[in-house]
Amino acid sequence: MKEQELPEVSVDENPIIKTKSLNEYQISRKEILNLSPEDLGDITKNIPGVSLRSYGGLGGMKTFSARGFSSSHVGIIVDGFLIQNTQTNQIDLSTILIDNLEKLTFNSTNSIENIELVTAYFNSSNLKISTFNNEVSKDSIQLRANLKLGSFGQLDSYISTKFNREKYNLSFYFKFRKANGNYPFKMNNYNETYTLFRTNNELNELYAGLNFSYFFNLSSRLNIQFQNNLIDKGLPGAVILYNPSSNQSLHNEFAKLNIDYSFQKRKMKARAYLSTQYDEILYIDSGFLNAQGYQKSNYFNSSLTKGISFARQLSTRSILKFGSENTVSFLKANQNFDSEVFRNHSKTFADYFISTKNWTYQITAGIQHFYNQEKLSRISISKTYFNPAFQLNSKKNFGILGTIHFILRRTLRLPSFNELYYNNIGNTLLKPEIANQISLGNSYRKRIKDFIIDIQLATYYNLVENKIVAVPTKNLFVWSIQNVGRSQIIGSDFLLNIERKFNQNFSLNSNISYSYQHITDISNYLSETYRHLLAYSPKHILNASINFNFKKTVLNFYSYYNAQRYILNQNIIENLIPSFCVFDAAVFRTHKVNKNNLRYSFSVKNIFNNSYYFIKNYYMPGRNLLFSIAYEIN
Amino acid sequence: MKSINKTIFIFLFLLYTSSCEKEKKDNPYTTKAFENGILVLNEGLFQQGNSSLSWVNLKDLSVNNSIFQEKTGRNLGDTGNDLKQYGNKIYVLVNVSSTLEILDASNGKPLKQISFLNGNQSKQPRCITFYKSKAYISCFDGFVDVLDTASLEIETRVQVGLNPDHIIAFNDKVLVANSGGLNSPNLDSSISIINSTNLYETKLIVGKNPGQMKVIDDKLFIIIRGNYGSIPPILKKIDLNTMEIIANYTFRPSIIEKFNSNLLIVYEENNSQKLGLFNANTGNWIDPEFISLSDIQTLYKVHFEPKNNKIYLFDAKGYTNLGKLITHDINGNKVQSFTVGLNPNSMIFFD
Repeated sequence: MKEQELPEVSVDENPIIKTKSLNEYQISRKEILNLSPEDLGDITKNIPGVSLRSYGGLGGMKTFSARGFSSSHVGIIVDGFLIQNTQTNQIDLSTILIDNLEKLTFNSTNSIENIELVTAYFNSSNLKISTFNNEVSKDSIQLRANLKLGSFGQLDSYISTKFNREKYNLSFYFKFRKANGNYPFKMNNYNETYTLFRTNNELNELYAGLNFSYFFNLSSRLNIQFQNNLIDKGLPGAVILYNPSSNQSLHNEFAKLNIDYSFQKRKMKARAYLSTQYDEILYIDSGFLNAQGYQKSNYFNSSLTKGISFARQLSTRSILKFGSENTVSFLKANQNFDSEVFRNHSKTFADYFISTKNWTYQITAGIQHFYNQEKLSRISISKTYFNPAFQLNSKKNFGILGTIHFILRRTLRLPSFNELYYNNIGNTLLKPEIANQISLGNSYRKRIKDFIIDIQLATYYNLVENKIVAVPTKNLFVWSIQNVGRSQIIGSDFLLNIERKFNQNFSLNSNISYSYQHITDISNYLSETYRHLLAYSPKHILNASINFNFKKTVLNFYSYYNAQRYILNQNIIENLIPSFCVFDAAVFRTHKVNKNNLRYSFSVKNIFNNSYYFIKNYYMPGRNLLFSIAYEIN
Repeated sequence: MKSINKTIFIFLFLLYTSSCEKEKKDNPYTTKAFENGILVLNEGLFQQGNSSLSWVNLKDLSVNNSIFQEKTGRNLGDTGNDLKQYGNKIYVLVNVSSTLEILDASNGKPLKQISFLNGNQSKQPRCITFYKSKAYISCFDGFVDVLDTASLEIETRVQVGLNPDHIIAFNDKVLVANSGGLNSPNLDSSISIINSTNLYETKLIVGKNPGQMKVIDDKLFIIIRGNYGSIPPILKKIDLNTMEIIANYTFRPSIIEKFNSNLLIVYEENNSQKLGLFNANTGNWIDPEFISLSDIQTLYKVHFEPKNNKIYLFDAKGYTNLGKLITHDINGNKVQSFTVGLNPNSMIFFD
């Protein structure tokens, strides 16, 4: 019954286009398990077009760029709510719980069927996460539990239960992870290679939360989500030649409360939501050379979002959607900011979708207004921006080209509080960074005898204007944030997936994804770096995996290749860092115990113990092992 | 068949071991003399580990940006901050790596690397000066380390002010500018005066965030950097006999360099940088725009070399591109330019 609670809005008898494309790339729970990920970064790097930036192993900060846009342009939406940080505009992927992931979707398109969070229409793309805790199920009780033991003293335990009743669902979850995090690595020092040890890398994490859904009737639902995270970790920093000292640590407390009411009546769906988040960071440098002998910086970042969103079926072939959202963000710090800072940000959109015999068209118009204010000095900025989008999808196959998908989109990201107000470097006059994108892609799927072949391709041209960059203005210590940059992204993502089922007991699945990105600085034609590749923008990224399924056992091999890239925008040999290729392997075995699943897995990461880094001098772990045992009821 | 395999194996083994032997031999460059050229310290960027030394060969006008690696077989480290020669030794201070590299001044051969770690605490050496066979090294942890230049051992530490930076020696005094840079906004305002005989330290209040110093005829010229905001930088003149401030110059200086008995001063006027020639005795400009900076993107340091009467401007090119060393003659006319490493900040001239 509950599966019918929020039925899809169907446009006509023919289903709205469901073809997978790289503009809407999905990773299922099964695929996630095959990867044996340690954090969301391990999953995200498999998305074609995504370039991960990892600052270390367990607990190390992970961010990413997608189709050449920094992660500030990408919304991370968990169970229909945005995770946000207006202080930095960056979400550390390592801090997002992944044990309960059911599905991850990366899309550059606006959703057709669902009523989404309003803010999703204003990002260049969105990384959407659906969790076990928020999924509606027929089973009266469900349980997910796992225990992991791994290298670097890793102990990881997670348990989640869900009670599904006629009128409500209630789910709890709890996770604890600890690790000393220290690992050896090999470092080249000109002609010599040393083995050194990464220290000050300990990690303690605690996640707890609950989800509650109440069903008023067949078509209306109240959903409440609460989560609290506590993370304590050492910050090993970059490896400094001849100086192993490292005295920084970070304590982070994050809490969110999301409330969502949605209903459907005849041809209309609606959603009203409220989200509040609190993010406290305490940074300690016990070796800081000031008069106190240490530095302690506290940052309190909070936000309150409220919004409404509607979808109205106008005819059998068209849908109109509109919505409005307001977010108030606030930052208070004990240092580095002169006063408390505040932002009020409102967004409104209208979206029209129409389906013809062979094509679907979707036009979105968004308008957003914000003002920033610093409490003491009363500095305020008030701006309004227009964000249009258009997307076109074919419903029929064009021979070998398969289906065709086209996107035209203009979005922006606001400057973060750090960029606006941080000490002397902040610049209160900053304009938002604009992201323009054009993408054309196709999807082809064919069954040839026992093989199912999926080929997807997307080619894009993106342009970033008013790029926000830190520029030294007076000397190496006096920097300022300015809108001085422009960058151009020409890219193409390719995905090939081949499945073959040999018999009931044996099947094979292989997946290759390749991304080419040429991301260049086009800020100033007189500059030495004009048309040079931007720092940390590899031209080539390749993922390949193959998994063999024998009855209850799965054997998975995975490799990841990241091409050489430059650490600074000047493309000279001195700034070039090497490419790397990492191989992982994992084996899983699942048993049925009273209709429930008991799963063991063992994985080896970085099998060949390669020494590598994404970011220069942030060395990644060598060969490491992970054993896990999981039990699932329903 | 087996014996053929065995022979091949022995042959390959001998080939491998002989090739290993070759690698152990000294690189011929290590014994090449430093002459008729300029050794430039490139600071690199914080946490990038890309500090380097460049050798500018004035004979063939070539530049080698890997001279330190070729001489020592290893990298210099992170954030090279000061380069000086004293006697027949070259001293390179590497701030974030917390090391002092000592090289033979005749050929660049490595003599010693001294670590400036105090347990798990980095002392962060900043600048070095010399007086009577001792090297005085300002460390950002609030001390000056005293090094014996013969034994190359650190003998003692002298506590000074907060985050000492520039350091110079004059007569029996070692003068240290206590910047207090890591205590912003509570910057230090003092210079420490260390008596080199008994290492007693006294302080003189000079103004917020003291920086670069030069001595001309018993007079100390010091840049007071202010707070990079509401308190602007100024230049002060101090009589070293009476230790009194005798003049304040309010043009906004950022770099000073001794130019015989005058000063070359980089200052800011109407939001643009200028390089003027300043009469250190009268306190007046001889030429407020002695060298045009129109071709310079990011002027980082200025060096006057009395041995060849040349002025060297260090262009850091936005701090993220390879820097330039631009030579001018004594009249301020541009002579030549060399591309060196990232963020060049100091040099030694070899004739």
